[in-house]
Amino acid sequence: MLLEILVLILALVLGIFAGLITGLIPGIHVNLISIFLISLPLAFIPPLASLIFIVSMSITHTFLDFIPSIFLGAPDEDTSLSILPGHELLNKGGGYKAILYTLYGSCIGIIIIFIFTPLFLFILPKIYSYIKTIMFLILIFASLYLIIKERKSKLFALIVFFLSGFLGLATLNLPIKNSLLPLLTGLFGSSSLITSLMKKEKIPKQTLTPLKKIKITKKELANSGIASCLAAPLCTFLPSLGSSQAAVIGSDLTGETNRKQFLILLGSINTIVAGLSFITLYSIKKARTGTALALSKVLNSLNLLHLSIISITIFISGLVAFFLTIYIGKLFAKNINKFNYKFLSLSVLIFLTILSFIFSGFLGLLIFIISTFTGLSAILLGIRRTHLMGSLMLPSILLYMPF
Amino acid sequence: MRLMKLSLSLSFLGIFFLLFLPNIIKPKQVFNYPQLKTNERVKTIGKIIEVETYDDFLIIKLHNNITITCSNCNLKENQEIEVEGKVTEYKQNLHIQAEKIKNVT
Repeated sequence: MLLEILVLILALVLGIFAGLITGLIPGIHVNLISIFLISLPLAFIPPLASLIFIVSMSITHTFLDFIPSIFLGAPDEDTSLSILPGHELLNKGGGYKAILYTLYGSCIGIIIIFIFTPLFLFILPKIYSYIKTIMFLILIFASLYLIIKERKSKLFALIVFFLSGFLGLATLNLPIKNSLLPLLTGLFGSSSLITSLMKKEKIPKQTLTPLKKIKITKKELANSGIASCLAAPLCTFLPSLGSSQAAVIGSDLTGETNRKQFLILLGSINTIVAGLSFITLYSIKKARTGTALALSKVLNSLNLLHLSIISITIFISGLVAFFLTIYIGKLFAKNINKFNYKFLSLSVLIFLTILSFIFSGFLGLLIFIISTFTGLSAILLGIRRTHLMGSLMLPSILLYMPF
Repeated sequence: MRLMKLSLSLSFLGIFFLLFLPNIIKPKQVFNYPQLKTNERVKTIGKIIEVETYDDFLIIKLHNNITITCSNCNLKENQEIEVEGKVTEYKQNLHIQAEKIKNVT
């Protein structure tokens, strides 16, 4: 009995550590580790230990993944929108403050997960079959809404949506492993790094604002919380709708959001989507994230015991991740201006290129290059990068179309 | 501006090429179930040992333990067929979604 408990604690610690690695290293996503985990012979690993590992890794990742996004300009698809507001703060010496805003958001996210869990358990199974019949319409509406809400150019937004949509279709149709890695890394990661390289940036010394001195009004907190509640849960059971799109939809629904609120919102939604995806797996047996999919392969079905363990793991890993983010955020903030930013960006870019090749082969590398140009097009056209999620939305719309 | 036009052009050309690529990649010849890999385009020959009919598609089992799904096809047991298609996964089982079926008996 004691040994079993120790194994579970070890799984929690390893999961948090894995989430720390995936959160901090650009291009290494929790989905990658999950895919790796399920490809191992898992007979000797207790299923509960795998469950705790995957959940804790997933939650920890959402706390820490804004650090490379804000400090290195290397986001993943969930944190891509944090680049602009985060970078603005970084250039004013407020990179650490930006991290704390997203941290506030993640903490709110943990609370919202527990508020929404009963709704997901009792109401979602009853309405999901109706939602499924109109799934493609919801996705079309969401895509159109995001395009219409584009401030710069709706035409460019439409072009980028379809361009990335066809790229997604082509990628998913090709016989390559881990196709989403080169696709999304190119669209969101390497394209951002290239634009960072093109700018003559020198990161100023960062201020380490203590947590107590972070001023967020109740109205700002409430606005971000409400926006998260409105948009994030949708993304946990609708396919291809990610955190960044939820953030745009949520912020539009609640009116104008400032930079601070948007970062809080992003942090919150990122964590909610990760946490509620496991609840969705239990309630409607659908996996909407890579980690939930990995969990579904480890455990054929979830029961109430698993659900309880998931909830406890979310809470504990959230708590640990909170302190980890503060500590590591400070480390980055103290040292980022000592590094040659161009060298750092170039190193990360080379690393991502090699990663795409290792995990997906020559075809993967080709997709990485083409998706980088596509992502770059979106950045240079000056439109929101959420439209690049057409790479997943268009294939999902076509999949759910009844004709 | 120039970089934007270059990125957009390369993006268009690249995506067009990727869409066309599956038609260039020759399907891999497979002889049994363990050789199947998700998303791969494959070709196999086998004798039909079981046919299950559903509303608008058939599930066909071949003697080499490979399962085929096809829509709008008219096939019977004991026929020997050559199938070309894409490997997809359904409920943790791999099967070939037939794109071309040729009778070889």
